[in-house]
Amino acid sequence: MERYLGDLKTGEWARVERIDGGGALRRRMMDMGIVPGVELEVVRHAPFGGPLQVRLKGYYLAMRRGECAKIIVTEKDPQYTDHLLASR
Amino acid sequence: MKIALIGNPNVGKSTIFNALTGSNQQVGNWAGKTVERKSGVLQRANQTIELIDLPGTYSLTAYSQEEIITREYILRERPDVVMAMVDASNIERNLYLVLQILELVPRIVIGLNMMDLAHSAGISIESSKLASALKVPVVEIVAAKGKGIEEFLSEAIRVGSMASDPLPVEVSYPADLEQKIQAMELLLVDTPWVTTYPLRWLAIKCLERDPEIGQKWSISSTKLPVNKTVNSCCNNGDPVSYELQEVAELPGESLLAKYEEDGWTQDHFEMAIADAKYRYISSILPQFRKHENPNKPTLTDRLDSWILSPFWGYPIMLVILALVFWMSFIASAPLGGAVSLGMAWVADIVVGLLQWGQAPEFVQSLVRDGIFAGVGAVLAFVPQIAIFFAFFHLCRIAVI
Repeated sequence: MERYLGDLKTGEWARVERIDGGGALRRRMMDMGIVPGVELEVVRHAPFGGPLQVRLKGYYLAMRRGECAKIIVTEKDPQYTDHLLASR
Repeated sequence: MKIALIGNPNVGKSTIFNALTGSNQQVGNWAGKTVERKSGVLQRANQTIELIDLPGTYSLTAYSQEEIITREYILRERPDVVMAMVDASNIERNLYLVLQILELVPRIVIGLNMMDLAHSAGISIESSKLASALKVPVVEIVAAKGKGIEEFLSEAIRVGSMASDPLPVEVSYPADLEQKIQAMELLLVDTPWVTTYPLRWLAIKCLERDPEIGQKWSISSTKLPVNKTVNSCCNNGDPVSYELQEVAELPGESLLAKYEEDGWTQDHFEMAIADAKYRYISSILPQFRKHENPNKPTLTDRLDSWILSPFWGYPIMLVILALVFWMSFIASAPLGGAVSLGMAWVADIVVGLLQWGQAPEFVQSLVRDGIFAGVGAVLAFVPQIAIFFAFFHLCRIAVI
């Protein structure tokens, strides 16, 4: 089931499916390690629509809700090891 | 020899830079940017070294002003050696930048910082194994305590004085991507660009349609005459500026068009290359990193779960603020009172001495009502301010 990263609840794990949109923001996300296939955990939400803290690759990253709405995730699947790159 | 300090933001580059250059710093601005350009000249082993502190960046495919500066410096001024600072507690993301530099500059030394932070998170890194995995010298440093900084520099000088370029590790890309990179390399191998840049880097950047590829820049370091009419207060002169000399047409347009038809667009290439680098890092990670109890929360995690909790966070914040307020205004009041009393007591003694010495009335008044009353009124606030700033400082270091 595909969802937006921003819709995940605190403590939920997910696997990045693809990143919508392009340009600088997407490039930045890729540089920070958010590439398709990567698994991340939503650690906490800031109140009043503030940013979201996620954990990936052993570090914490805070992202605005608007940025999270561009990241499409699916359920974490321990059986599924390799992941095809989404071209878009 | 030109040496550049580079790394992710907040890995301690400036600490190293300040420790090495001391007061021999030259601070200007980067051409056309409001970012400081800090360089320093050092003398080590009969060599004059120009050390430059580059702004922190996560990658060399950059968008923000600081990142563009770092990238342009590496591309256009070509440092002889790169001192790459790596945060041991966050090694995957830090090595991503290192891999990008390795494709462009073969002479590189890694400074492994924040081992103590990594250790407290249960991470241990064997620097010798990291060095053999990347085929790059690695020096352990504790920037905050000044340990290993000289060794880091002397290792960089040693690498810079080597007769031929060392051969660091090459990222292994997945087969389909590797084949496309090699096809592009074939087209580029006869162009004059391969004398300036490494072939593989050129091929990858062509596939990513990097705008810098094909541009030739000249560096002019002559200081422009300062124009007094144009805001001379804030412009301390750019020491170095770049000038675009020519833009060459590079081969490979038709190849790129063909790939695009197959779904390998610019976006797809960028993502595939970033993904391959991160995968490569994950594949070599077990060679040098041991992570004990990766799910065990660190002290910060445990504190955060209370302080940043959506329910407990607010009362904890109010209690801390109330404590600071109470300490600086109410608990400090007796101290302030004691200071006033002490001043009055000293004033009495001094005025008594003046009377005994037959000092004129206006001098006694100056000392009693002017100096002691005036300075005493100010000093009475010292305990209050000291307590407040002590808390202020505590909050600041707690953030770090």
